[in-house]
Amino acid sequence: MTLIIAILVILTVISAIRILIGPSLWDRLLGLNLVTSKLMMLIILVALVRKQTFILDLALVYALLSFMGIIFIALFIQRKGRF
Amino acid sequence: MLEIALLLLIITSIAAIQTRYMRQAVIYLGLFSLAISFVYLLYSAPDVALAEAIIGSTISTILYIVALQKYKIYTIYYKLQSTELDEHATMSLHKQQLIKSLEKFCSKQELETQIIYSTEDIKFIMEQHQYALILEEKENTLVIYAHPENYKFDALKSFLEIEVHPRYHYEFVKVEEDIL
Amino acid sequence: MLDLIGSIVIVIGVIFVSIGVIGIYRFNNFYARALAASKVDTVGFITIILGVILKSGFNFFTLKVIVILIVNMLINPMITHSIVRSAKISGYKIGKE
Repeated sequence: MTLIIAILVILTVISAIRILIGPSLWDRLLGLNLVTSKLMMLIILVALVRKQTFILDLALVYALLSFMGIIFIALFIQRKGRF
Repeated sequence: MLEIALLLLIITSIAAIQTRYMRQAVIYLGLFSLAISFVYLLYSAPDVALAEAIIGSTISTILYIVALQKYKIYTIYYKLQSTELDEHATMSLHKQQLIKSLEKFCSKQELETQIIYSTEDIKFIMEQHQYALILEEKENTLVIYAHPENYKFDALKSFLEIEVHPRYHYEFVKVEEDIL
Repeated sequence: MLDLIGSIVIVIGVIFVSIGVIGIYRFNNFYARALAASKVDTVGFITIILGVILKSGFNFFTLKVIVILIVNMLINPMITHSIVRSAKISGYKIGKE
C-alpha cells in the first residue's frame, strides 16, 4: 500500500511538470485539474491506511470546491480580462 | 514521499516569484496551496489542511483574479489566412520577432499583452470585439489599425520607428469614431 | 479474499492513471491532451475508489467515499469542458504563449 502511495506521488509530480513547462495558459489549467484529482486519490488512500474517517472531509472539500478556482480563471481569460 | 512534496513546494514558490506573467503566477500559487495541504496531512494535522484547502483553492484565487482586473490589458488581434491557422502550421520567424517587439513595448508601458489570432473580417472584429490594435499583412506592409480611444498609440509609433523590422514597413491607421 | 481483490483493482486504477499521465506528454496538440487527460483520469478515479470500497467493507467510511465519487463524477468533466471552451473562444493557436 505504501508503494502505491509513493507511485501516485511521483505521478502527481510528473503532472505538475506539465504546469511548469506548459506552452499555453490552458495547458497549465489542465495540469492543475489533473493534480487536484490525483491529490484526492492520495487523500483517500492515506485515510484508508490510517483508518481515520475524518481525513475524508478534506477530500470532500476538494471535490466540492476545486472547480471554483479553475472555472473562474477560465472565464477570466475567455472574457478578455473582465468578469 | 514527504521529501518529494517538500521539493515540489520549493520549485513552485520559486516559479511563482520568477514568472513575468501575472496569470501564470496565480496558477503556480494554486499548485503551491495543493502541495502544502498534502504536507500538512503527512505531518498529521488534517484540520490545518482543511483550512488551507478552503482558503487556498477558492478565496485566494478569486481575490487575486479580482485584483488582476485592475491591471490593464492590451488586446491585439492578429489577422491570419485560414491556412496558417491549421494545426500543423508553425509561426514563421519574422512574425515571432514582431510579436516579441510588441511584448517589449507593452512591458515598458506596464501593460499586459493578450494576442488573439483570428481569421474573421476586419469590420466584423471592429464591431463585435473590444480591441486596442488590429494587425493585418498586405504583402510587404503591415497595416496597424488602432482603436479611437487608444492613448498609447503615439508612444507605439515612436517605438516602432526606432525598432526597425527587416521584413515589414509599417502603415498606421487610426479608426474614426462613428458619430451617431 | 476481498482484501486481495481490492488491492488488484487499486493497482489497475493506478495503471489507468499512469496511461493518462503518459498521454499528456505524448500528444503535441492541446485538444488531444485535454481528451487524454480528462477521460482516462476519471476512469482511474472510479477504479481506485471501487478498490477502496472492496477493501474496507460496508461501513461509514464507504458511505463517505461513495459521496466523494458521485461529486467528482459530476464535476470533473465540467471543469474540462470549461477549459476547452475557453480555449476555443479565445482563439487558441499552437506555439502561442
